Amino acid sequence: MQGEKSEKAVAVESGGSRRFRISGWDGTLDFLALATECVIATLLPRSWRKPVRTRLAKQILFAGVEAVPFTVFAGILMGIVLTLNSYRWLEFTGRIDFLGPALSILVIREAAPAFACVILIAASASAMTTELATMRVSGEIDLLESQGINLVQFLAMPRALGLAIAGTGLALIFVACAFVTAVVTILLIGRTSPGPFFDSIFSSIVAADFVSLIGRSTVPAFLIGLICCHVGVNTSGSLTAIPQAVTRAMLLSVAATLLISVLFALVAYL
Amino acid sequence: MDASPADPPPVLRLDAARFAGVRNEGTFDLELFRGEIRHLGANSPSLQILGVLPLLSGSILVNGRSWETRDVADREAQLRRIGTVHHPRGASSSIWISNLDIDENARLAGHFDPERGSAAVAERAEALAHRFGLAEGLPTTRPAVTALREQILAQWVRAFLPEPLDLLLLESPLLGAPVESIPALVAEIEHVRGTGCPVLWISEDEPDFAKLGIRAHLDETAVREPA
Repeated sequence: MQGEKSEKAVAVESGGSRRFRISGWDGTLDFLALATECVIATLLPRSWRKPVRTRLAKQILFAGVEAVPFTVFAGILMGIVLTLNSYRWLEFTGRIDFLGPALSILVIREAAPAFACVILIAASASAMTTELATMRVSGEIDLLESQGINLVQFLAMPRALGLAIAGTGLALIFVACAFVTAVVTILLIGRTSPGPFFDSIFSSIVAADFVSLIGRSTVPAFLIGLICCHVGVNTSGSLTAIPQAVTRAMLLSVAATLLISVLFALVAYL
Repeated sequence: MDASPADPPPVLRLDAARFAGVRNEGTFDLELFRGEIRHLGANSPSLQILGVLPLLSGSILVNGRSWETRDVADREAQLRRIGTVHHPRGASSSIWISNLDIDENARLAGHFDPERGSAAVAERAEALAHRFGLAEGLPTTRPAVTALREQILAQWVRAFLPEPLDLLLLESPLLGAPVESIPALVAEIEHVRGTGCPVLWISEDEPDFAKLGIRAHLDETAVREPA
């Protein structure tokens, strides 16, 4: 039998799902449990109910397809910037033959995954956190729980996986746009023939570059999705708590992206 | 209804339950056996009965077990076998997921039932919708732009959709409902009671079950066999 509780205590307690509660070390453990459950659920065919598949498709559409124009724009601009800067400094040092390898490292290993994650955080993380925090505050999460709907399968898994797929796709689009722009820029500068330049790019790309590109875009994007779900679902109180939750989710997402980036850099370069 | 030691446990049991946020400040003791219909004089305690929100005090047992003693899978499986009509303006505040259409809302829990396919859920939902008076089926519009009448009827569909149905919680189910649809609701209530599902009618004022055409007692031998 439950002990006697005050109305206020119950109101506070009811502000967050028992399965998603985050605070301090317990919160970190909760997050790890959520991540583990999410990965396991992803691998189980029975998790892929119709609403989950629909949500995944919508998430890829919102986070990935709708962000393609901006990613193309960013890829083109960064292609120009990176090419001009690299060209200038490699010409200064007399190692212009390293232009292709330098660009491949800059674009594939660094710029593409970082920009893909930044685009996801700016465009999707805030929207996702707002949506889930609003669902929590308005009682919709309680409604889902009361119907026996698994919150990890219905809310977290399709969103996190959708962001991971979208992030990888955006990173690949960014790479393609940056390289095409780099070739066009080289042609316009006119001091290096594009054929050998392209050859030097492709000859310098190794399997580790692809692993790094996929890993540094997929893993942070997946974590961004989980962070937004975790923070959003744990929002408690009134509507004024929602902007605070969004800010928190975005900062945590940036931190997670940087941490994963450092980890992959350590593995790749050491 | 008095239970003998050989009888199955009540499907729902409230022991000195005190609900947060309801106008009635008292505690509730109640035993609801298979096929029974009982009235609970509270405002909107369904989320607390379902273990989603905590009680102020007391305990609740569903099929002999409290929510706290169940693991997540067992808890979700039990909740999927309970149909609920939420008070349209109750403490739970939301009766729909706002970014899903009404038809998607009504079928949502059914899609998570591992024993049923999506097509069977959709077919059953449409059949119930027509029975309750939604001639064009469940509304395919967002809750915010759906008429209250259609929302009430869609809530009825959602409540009767689980199969098998272990328990039916009806919070002020007639509030805002079209009069011509009430006989269909009563018929469906009587039907599920006949299969052994008990019904808890939750409203501040006790309804006149006889006037509605709801029998106070069913043939006990038909509904009190072990679950």
